[in-house]
This record gives sequence, structure tokens and C-alpha cells, in this order.
Amino acid sequence: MKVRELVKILDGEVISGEDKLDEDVKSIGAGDMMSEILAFAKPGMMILSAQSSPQSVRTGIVTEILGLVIISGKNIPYQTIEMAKQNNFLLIKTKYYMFSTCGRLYEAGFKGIDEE
Amino acid sequence: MKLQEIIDKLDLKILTNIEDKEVEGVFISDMLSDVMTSAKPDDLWLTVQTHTNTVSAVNLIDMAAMVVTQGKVVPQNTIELANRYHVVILSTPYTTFELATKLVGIGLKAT
Amino acid sequence: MQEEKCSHSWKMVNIAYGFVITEKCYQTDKVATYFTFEHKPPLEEYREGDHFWNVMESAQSFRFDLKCTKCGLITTFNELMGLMMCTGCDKTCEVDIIREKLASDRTWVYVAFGFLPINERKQLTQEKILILENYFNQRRKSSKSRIKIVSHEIVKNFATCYAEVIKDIDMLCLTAPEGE
Repeated sequence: MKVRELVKILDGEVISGEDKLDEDVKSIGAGDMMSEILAFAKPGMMILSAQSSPQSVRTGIVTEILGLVIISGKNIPYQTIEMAKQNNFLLIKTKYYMFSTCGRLYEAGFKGIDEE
Repeated sequence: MKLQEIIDKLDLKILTNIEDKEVEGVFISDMLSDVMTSAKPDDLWLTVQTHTNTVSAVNLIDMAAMVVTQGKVVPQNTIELANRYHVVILSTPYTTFELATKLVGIGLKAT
Repeated sequence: MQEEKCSHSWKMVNIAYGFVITEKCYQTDKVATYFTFEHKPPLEEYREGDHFWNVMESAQSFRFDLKCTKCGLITTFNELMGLMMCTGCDKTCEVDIIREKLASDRTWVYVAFGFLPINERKQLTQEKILILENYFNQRRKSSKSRIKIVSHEIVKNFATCYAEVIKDIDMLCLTAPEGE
């Protein structure tokens, strides 16, 4: 499935990396601890997180994931947005809480990392 | 849905004493701040946190149980504290996202 | 007064995320804490008067107010640094005595603590602590258990206290926290 569909399902707002809307989401992971994300992140993965600090984007860039979805409508600091824009990193925001976000993606057919 | 039914259907491992109860919803977060602001009573809480202070957070909101995902090992002192405070801790080898999808799959509604 | 007549129904509002920084001065052994929205606490020792402050811990935290959904009254909680659950580590501590007394009713005791140094910062009033307690009990909706919140002023010794503090540390570190 494409990033574009994910954005639609989550009523998402694309903050940066608009040119990646037609890329394939290979898998999805969810978490708020950077050390955990670092451990399970894979190239092509979309990560769902409540962590909106610049460290999240930095972790995303290092692990070469496809992009990051900030959940529950959390305010995203400008430093995070700046870092994402400078690196053309795909950053999306959704108002849904984590369980709703996962549920919506699952019902639309997205797979978790275990099913790869 | 009853906690025991969820445990049986998703093969969750029980790490503490258990009392069956009604699960009203699911809350997912690794941040105790988010539990304090947004979790609801009788929620099933999915997290990778295993520190003893998770017991403190579960009790404050009166969540139904916590499920430690990704097969994270729960320290013995967390389990002991949970038993003292009637907090139920479960665990699963699945990732948080995967368990969330399975919960939706057995009928828990994502509001 | 209308406020006194209202049987308040509290809701958490104005939630703002930030960090609680703990600093220590090794010259004077003084410990200070503060809330900041800054993502990067000062990494190097800095001087302030007689003190040379070093960051000991940076925890992710948040600020909030409670608003009554009936009368609209807003109570701010900027003086609250956090909550911790008493686990009964010192039989002679007044918090533990309260805990012991309430445990059979399944009433869990939490300590609301303010910023340090205690005598230099504005602290939560008893009235606000009671509002906080009412808020969490209303939110829990439980008939089986309740919570009781007390002031940190009755904690016998913070240095040896084993209470479980609700805080988020090491969340932004790329290396796993202790024991992994």
C-alpha cells in the first residue's frame, strides 16, 4: 500500500517529504522508546509514535525507515519539523490515538513487522 | 470483553496473580505521561515498559491490565510489586502494532 | 459564592509536554528541579551565584490544568512536579502510616511533589491536592479502589524513599536503559 492511502485512512497531515506519497509502505511498527525503535526499525517501515521530539526524526533517518507518523495530535516542535524538512524526511501527523491508528491501518490491510 | 477471553484468544502469558474483569478499551503508549493524561479506567494497556513505576501508573488510572509486548522480560521486582497492588501483568512476543491488530481482529473496537 | 456550591466535575485541560530537569551543585550539595519546554537541557556545568549546576536527570513530563465541566473553574497545577505511589519503605514515615491504614480498603496512597528546593519554590496547597485527588477518583470511576493524594511535606526522608515516581526517563536515548 502507498503512503497516500495511509495518509487518507488516518486523516493525516503531511508535514514534510510530500514526494514520498507514492512509495510503498512495507511494514509498520509502533513505539515511543527510541532504543526500541532503533532495534525494530527496518528500511521501508512506517513508524507510529507519540514522540515528536527531534530525536525521533534523527532515529528515523539513521534507520532509513520510510517515515514517521506522530499520533494523538501531539504538538510537533519546530526543531523536529526543521530537521525533517532539511532531510526531506516523511513526517505525518494524525489526531488518532495509537490504538485507533493501528486499528484503522489494520482494517485497511496494512501488515505489522511480524507478518513480513 | 472479559480479560480472560482476551488472554485465551491471543495466548497471552500471565505473569502475576489474576482476577477476571471487563476490559473496556485499549490504550497503547510507552510513556507514563500519556497514561496519566489519556488512559481510561479498565483499559488494557500495551507497552514495552517494564519498570516498577508502571505499577504506579496502572493503579493511578485503574487500568484492567498491562501487556508487555515484544517479549520484553519483566523484572521480578515489577512482578512482586504488581502482586502487592493487584495489578495484572501479561506478556506477548508480538510487537505492539501486531498485538493491536490482533485485538481489533477479535473484536475490540478502536474508538 | 457559586464556586463553593458547585460539586466540581474535573477534566484535564491545557496539557503541554516538556521536560523536568534535575540539577545538582556539588559545591553546596543543593538539588534543584524545574520544568522546561526546551528539548536540550544545558549539558555543561554552569554557574549561578554560589552554585555550579550539573544536570543529573532529564525526564519527559507535562503540565496541565483541571477545569470543572460544570462551572468552568480552572485550577492550575504548575507547582506539581509529579506523583509517586507509596510502597511502604519506612514504617516511621507518616505517608507509610497512612498507606498502612488505608491498604485494607484498597485505597492507594500517592504523594504529590513540587519542585526543589522545597522552601524556595511555590508548593501545591492542600486545597489543590484535594482537587487532584478528586479528579483522579472521578476519572477512575471505580467502586473497588480509590486513591489518596498527600503532600510531599509529610515524607520523612526523600533520599531514602522508595516510592514509585511516575516519570519518563531514557525514552529519547538510543541505548537501552539499564539491565538490557
